[in-house]
Amino acid sequence: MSPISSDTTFQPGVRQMEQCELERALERLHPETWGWALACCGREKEMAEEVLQNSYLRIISGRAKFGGTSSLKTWLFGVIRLTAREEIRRRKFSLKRFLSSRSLDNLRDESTDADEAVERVDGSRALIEAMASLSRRQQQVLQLVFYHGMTIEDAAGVMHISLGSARTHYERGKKALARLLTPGLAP
Amino acid sequence: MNDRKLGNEFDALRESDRQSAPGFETIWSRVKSAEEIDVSDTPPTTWWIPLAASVIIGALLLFGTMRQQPLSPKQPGITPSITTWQSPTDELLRTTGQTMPAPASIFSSVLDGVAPVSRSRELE
Repeated sequence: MSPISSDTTFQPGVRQMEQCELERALERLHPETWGWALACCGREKEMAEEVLQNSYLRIISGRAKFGGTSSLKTWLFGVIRLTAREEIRRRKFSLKRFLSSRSLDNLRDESTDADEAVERVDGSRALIEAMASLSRRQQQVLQLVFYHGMTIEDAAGVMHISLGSARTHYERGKKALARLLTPGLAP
Repeated sequence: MNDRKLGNEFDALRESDRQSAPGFETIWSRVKSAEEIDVSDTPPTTWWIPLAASVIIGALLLFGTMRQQPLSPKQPGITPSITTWQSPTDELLRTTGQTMPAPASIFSSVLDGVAPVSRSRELE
C-alpha cells in the first residue's frame, strides 16, 4: 500500500516527503479541497481558486508544515480555512478603501459574476441559500460532515474548536437547515 | 428532513462543484510559477543579520577609538625609553634647600618674638 493511499497511514511529518509524493496527495484530494475552498469563500469561485493556489503554495514552500498529528486531509482543510480567512480579511480591507473612493451604486453594477455563479448550480440553489443563512461555524461543520464525510471530531480539528462546540454547532445547524429546506416550515 | 435527505442534497451539490472545479494541473502550474517568483524575488529572511552585525561591530570600534584618544595622546606604537622617561610629577621634586621650611624649635616660647634673638640663632 502506498503511504499516501490512506489519510490515516500518511505520515510525511515522520519521514521526509518527496515533492512528487506531495503533489500526488494534493491531486488526489483536489476535488475535496475545491469544495471546501468554495465553502470557505462564500462560494465565490474566483476567490476559492486564489485561496487554493495560495494554500498549495504555502505547503510546497514549507510555510505550512504537516506535523503528522492528524490526517493529511484534516490538516490540509485547516490550512485552506486559515488562508481563506486571511483572504477575506484582505478583501474586506480593500473593499473599505474602495468604498471610500467610489459610490455604492457603481459597485453593484459589477457584482453580477456572483449571481451567475449561483445560477450555474441552480439545482442546489435552495441548499446554498439555506446554508448562507446559517452562522459561519454551523455552515462549516455541516459542510465538513455532510459534504466531505468527516466525523464531528475531525471537523472540530479542522475548525480548531472543541468537540463539544462542534457538536453544538452541528446539532443547531442541522435543525435550522432541515427547517429551511422543508417546504411549509421555511420562514 | 432527516440526515439521509440532507446527505442527498449535499451529494448533489458536491457533484455540481466537481463539474465546475478547475483542473489540478492548472492550479499546480500557477503554484509552481508563483513559487519560482517567490524564491527568486524574495531575499532570505536572514539577509539582515550579517548587515546588522557589521554595523554594530563598526560602531563599537569607532566608539572605542574615540574613547581612547584623549587618554593616550602619544602615538600608541612609540614607547619611550626608560632612561629618558620622566614622570609627569617631576616638577614637584625640584626644590632647593632655601625653600625648605625651617624646622620648628624644640624649646619654643611665647616670648620668642619679643626677646632679642641671639647671634647664633640668627645664623641658623
